[in-house]
Amino acid sequence: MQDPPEKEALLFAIARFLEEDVRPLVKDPRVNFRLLIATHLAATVASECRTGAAHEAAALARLRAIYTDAENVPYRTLEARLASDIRQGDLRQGALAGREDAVRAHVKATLLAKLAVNSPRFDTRTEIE
Amino acid sequence: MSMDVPGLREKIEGHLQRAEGRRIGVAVAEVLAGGACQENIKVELEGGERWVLRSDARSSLTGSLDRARELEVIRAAVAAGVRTPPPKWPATGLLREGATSYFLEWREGEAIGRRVVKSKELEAARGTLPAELARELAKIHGIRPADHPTLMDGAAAAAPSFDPAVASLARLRARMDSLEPSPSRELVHRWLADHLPAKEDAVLCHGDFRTGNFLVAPDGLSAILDWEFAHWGARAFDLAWICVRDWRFGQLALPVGGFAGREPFYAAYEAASGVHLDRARLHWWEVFGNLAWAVGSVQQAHRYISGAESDLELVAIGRRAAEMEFEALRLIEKGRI
Repeated sequence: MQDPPEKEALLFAIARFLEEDVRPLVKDPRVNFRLLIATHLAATVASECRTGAAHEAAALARLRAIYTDAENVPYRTLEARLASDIRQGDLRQGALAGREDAVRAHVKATLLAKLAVNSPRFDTRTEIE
Repeated sequence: MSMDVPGLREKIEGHLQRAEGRRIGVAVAEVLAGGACQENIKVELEGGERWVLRSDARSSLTGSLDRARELEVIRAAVAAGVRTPPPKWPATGLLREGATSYFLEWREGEAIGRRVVKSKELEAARGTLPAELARELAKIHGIRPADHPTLMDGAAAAAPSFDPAVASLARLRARMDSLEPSPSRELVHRWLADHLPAKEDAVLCHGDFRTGNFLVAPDGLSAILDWEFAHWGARAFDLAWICVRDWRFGQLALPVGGFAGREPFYAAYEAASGVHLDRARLHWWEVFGNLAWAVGSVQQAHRYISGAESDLELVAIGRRAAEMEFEALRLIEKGRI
């Protein structure tokens, strides 16, 4: 309903202003470092605006493939159920028996989606040392 | 952002007068960038002597010691010959009602992580750091609960039934239960619970032994700081914590604190302590450390969200939990360090 610019463009404008116009003027290292954080947070929220809905839809689809009885259950509820089921015991037995690979794949894909938004420069390779 | 304490210099002068029975003038009292659970104030006396005044912050992290108990731990470490500044002039209510504080002798050196791992001036120091840190850690781990029954309930930690890994995992479980449910953290916890290392005797753990919590000067290690997470635990906790990925400050290929390879550090520790380090045990504790820091980072964000603290850095850190969780699962998949 709002006129342009889009919210992502506004957030990027804030990030750019803080980085290019404000930070060079701030000599206090403590405040300067927090300006860097503020810039990063604005860019993070912009990225989440762009990709958040798709990430959550994909995560929900993965969860509903694990829990076939959960057609209308929302994402947060299913994440809590999965956390509780993992906590109960051996993945190969109990509520998640036969779905261990799907569970591990879901957890990893969810972490990668979070990293893409919050920590885009995080090295996700298997060997880092 | 900066903490202005009205009449700070006068308050400190009053305290020193009571402690020493004579007037000691304070030339400068300046608030330093603080730690998570305490406030640090640089105090320069009129004679030029410099001290750091450490005081309890408004809110703290679960599992952290208040200054009164931290003081006892530091005294035990000083008595064991650990390179850490001795505390002096303890006080209660100096900066805030109920808050305990004490003074530490000022030490020169760099603590900021990214400078410790990258600064050109510290290049030579990074060469001697692994062996120096290993020797200090061996001294810290030489402090045993049986010799300190009243220090952090050493009597309980000295009991034959006390299992440091079980105790640490139980404390982490309790912290996880105070947060939102998380399948990734549960998956890591599941693995830890299924792969507990064999029981071992408890030693004094520094609890936050990592780049950022020791001072480095051009000629090497200057001082070990920040004892607020000290506890009776497993020596491998400290040895693994310094290798937790986030404490490498971007230098991923240098797992020990972002400045050294693993083997020289482990070898120096084995030589100094006479204890062989089981690499599988270190792997378990590095997975543990990453989960603990994932939980810690979410808790830091909650301190902001709850209104107890107002530092932007705290609220931002919550979103970084995924990094530590990813790293813990990567280490589990890899199967070794």
